[in-house]
Amino acid sequence: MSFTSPGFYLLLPAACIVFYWIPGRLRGIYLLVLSYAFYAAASRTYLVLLIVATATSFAIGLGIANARSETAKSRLMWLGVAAIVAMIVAFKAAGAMAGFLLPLGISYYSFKLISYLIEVYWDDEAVERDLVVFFLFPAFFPQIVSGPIQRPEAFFRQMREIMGRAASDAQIEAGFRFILGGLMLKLLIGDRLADVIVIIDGAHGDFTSATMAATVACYTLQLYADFAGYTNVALGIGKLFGVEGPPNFNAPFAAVNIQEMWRRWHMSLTSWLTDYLFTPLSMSLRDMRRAGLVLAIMLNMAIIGVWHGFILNYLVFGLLHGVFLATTVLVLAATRARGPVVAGGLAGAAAAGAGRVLTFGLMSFSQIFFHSGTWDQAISILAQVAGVGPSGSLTILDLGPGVALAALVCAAIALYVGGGAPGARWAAARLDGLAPRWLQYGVCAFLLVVLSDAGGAKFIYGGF
Amino acid sequence: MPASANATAGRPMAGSRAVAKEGGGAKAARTICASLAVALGLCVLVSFVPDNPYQRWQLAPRPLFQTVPWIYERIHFDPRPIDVVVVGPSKTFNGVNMAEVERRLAERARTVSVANFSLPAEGRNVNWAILEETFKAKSPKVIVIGVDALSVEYGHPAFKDIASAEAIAVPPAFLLHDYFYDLVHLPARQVALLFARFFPGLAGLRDAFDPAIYARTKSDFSEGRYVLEGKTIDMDAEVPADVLLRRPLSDPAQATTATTRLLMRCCNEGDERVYLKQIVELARAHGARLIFAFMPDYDDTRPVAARAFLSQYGEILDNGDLSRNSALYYNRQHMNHAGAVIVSDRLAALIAEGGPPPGAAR
Repeated sequence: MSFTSPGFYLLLPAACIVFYWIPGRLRGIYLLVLSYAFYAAASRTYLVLLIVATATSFAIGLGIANARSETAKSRLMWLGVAAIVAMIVAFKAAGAMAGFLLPLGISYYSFKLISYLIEVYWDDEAVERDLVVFFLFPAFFPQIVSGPIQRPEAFFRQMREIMGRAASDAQIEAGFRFILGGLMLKLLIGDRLADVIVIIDGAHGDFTSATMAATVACYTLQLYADFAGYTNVALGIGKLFGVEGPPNFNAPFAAVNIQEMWRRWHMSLTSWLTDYLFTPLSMSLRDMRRAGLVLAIMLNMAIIGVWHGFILNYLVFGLLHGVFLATTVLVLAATRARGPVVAGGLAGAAAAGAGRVLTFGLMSFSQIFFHSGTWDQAISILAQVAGVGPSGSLTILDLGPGVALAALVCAAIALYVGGGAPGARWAAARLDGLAPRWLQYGVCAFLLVVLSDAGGAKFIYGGF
Repeated sequence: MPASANATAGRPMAGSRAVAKEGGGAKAARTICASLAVALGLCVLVSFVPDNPYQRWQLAPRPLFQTVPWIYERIHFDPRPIDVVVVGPSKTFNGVNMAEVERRLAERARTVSVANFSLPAEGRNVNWAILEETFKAKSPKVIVIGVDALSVEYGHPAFKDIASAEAIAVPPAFLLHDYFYDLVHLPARQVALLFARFFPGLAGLRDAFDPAIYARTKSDFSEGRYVLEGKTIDMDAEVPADVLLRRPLSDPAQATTATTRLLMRCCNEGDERVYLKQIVELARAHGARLIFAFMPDYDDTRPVAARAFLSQYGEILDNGDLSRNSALYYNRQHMNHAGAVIVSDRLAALIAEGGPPPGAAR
């Protein structure tokens, strides 16, 4: 059952009402049953895998906390991490080679379980002894499909809180607002862009190089609208059940360089990798100075790439970002070494603007590999955009003036929202004075109904 | 701030259910309900915004339903009469040749104009919608309805696009299979049509009849070679029997799910009978004769579904005997041009037998 299906939204209010109606002590088990039912609706077979992985991590976590020596703790931690990594690698490799579907959410729940084991290894107090709360952590249905990847401590604390308190008006209203906003971003912007992209991709050789370059920029905008939209829906559903998830996006198109962009894009994954991979790795390679830093960056970004799947395109996507990021880090370090940078006035604004355009361009360039289904397709699109491959004479206008205008409007909105929606807070404050919130939400829900293409819309990151 | 917000982390508080009942979340629930009521109210409001039916009939997805705009133009802009109208699924879409029926009737000294308004995919509701539109401008004397070995108890995918708002919102029976599916699409459709009234170019929906487009629109799919939904269909090809048999027979299980059976027991007789009765009423109101043309699958011994029911309202042209001849099919479910010619000849003969003969009045 998808977060975009009308059926899901018929069941969600009922599930939420029951959650707050039953005694607090039963809420955990109720949410666990709900989460397993949600998972089973997609895949009953892989539900067993989820339960086994969770039970194993629970037992190993207890083992780490109860171990008497550092060596035993370390061995147990590595055993648990290796088992989970082996599981995810096996499925991703089999998925890439045999082409079968990955277990739903494996990339997300396995990272959650790894972070738990490492946290317990670092601090015995982080161990969770409540079976229900722990089993709920990887299975929590709002986050199982595509994250965000929540840290264990924050989740356990909130689950215990919600078992002992009533529903919060502010949190539930915020949840509803997040769901509405997320669905609008996904269905009205992302899916509309996807419609145009699918048409152009299907016959990209018939279109001009400029149209293809614009389409490549739309890859980034569509991915943002799709994934950020999904994340908002997931965060909103989590809020309805009293759980605040971590944000995944923070105005990524406002980033003035690629380093900043990665602090604003898929934040729950990048912060996870920073904490559990990049920082320990760069610390252990610090004797190698800059070479060690570059190596740590390249390894980190390569893992981000292959995390999406074991195909060459994703690896190249990761390595490209490794090169972009390492270059940025070294250039910024060299610039700072020359003295303090005074950025202000028109020159500063122009530099920031140029930085944003360059960052967006680099991101879109890498999207050619991320978006393309095969290596050959990526190379063919790359050659066409560069003007060295075959291209045709069609432009987006040939798809019809309405299609072109809709794509332009959707791209502009995605860019505006992804750029931090400047002025939106001010406008929202003015709007609050003019119309009550329920009226605003009602109009948004109406727009969602009449402007979205009702159907089985899928989330891009649901495939990872 | 609600008192509950002061709850600290820890084990569940005793009596938390009581706390929950004191109204936590009630204000948010009221806000959400009010906003959903606003959205629903706006949806109901826009659902009945008047539209341009010519543009509405261009909404059905193409290329599968590419003949839908042509059907509207044939009814309203083509001065030729329609004496015989054929409706039904893909089996009659490419299993009845309009020119052949006209030629055979002309041999019997009857000048008859035949229009095949069948569409790919099953669903009786769309047949009724097309016939209702037909009678607004033309006066067919014979209605030919393609029928099958199984009743299809769900609606047609193009019904939500072409039917009037009233036809979708107020169906002839409660809880028909696709009622809610069609209904939820209605507000979006009416908003799109409202936009198209002011910006037809941007919406890609013409608001003026173009004879040149009409003239070059393919309307007969019972002959020649054409591409539909990415598949090349050669109506003149003869397909070996073993190739035809690789495709399974039409599956009755598709038509009757447990929910459908339950609804049919409690609320309605199923789409097939409900809309067939609507068609019967329409035919009676306009004095038209009904013929049910049975179009079997290849190598299918099943008889026409609900023969007794159909016999109450019209004659049945039983083509069951053709099902053993592989030379008449291009796939398991559909006849080729040779098959279409035989069916058309039989149809012409049946039309000529009955009275009053179409064309005789002119």
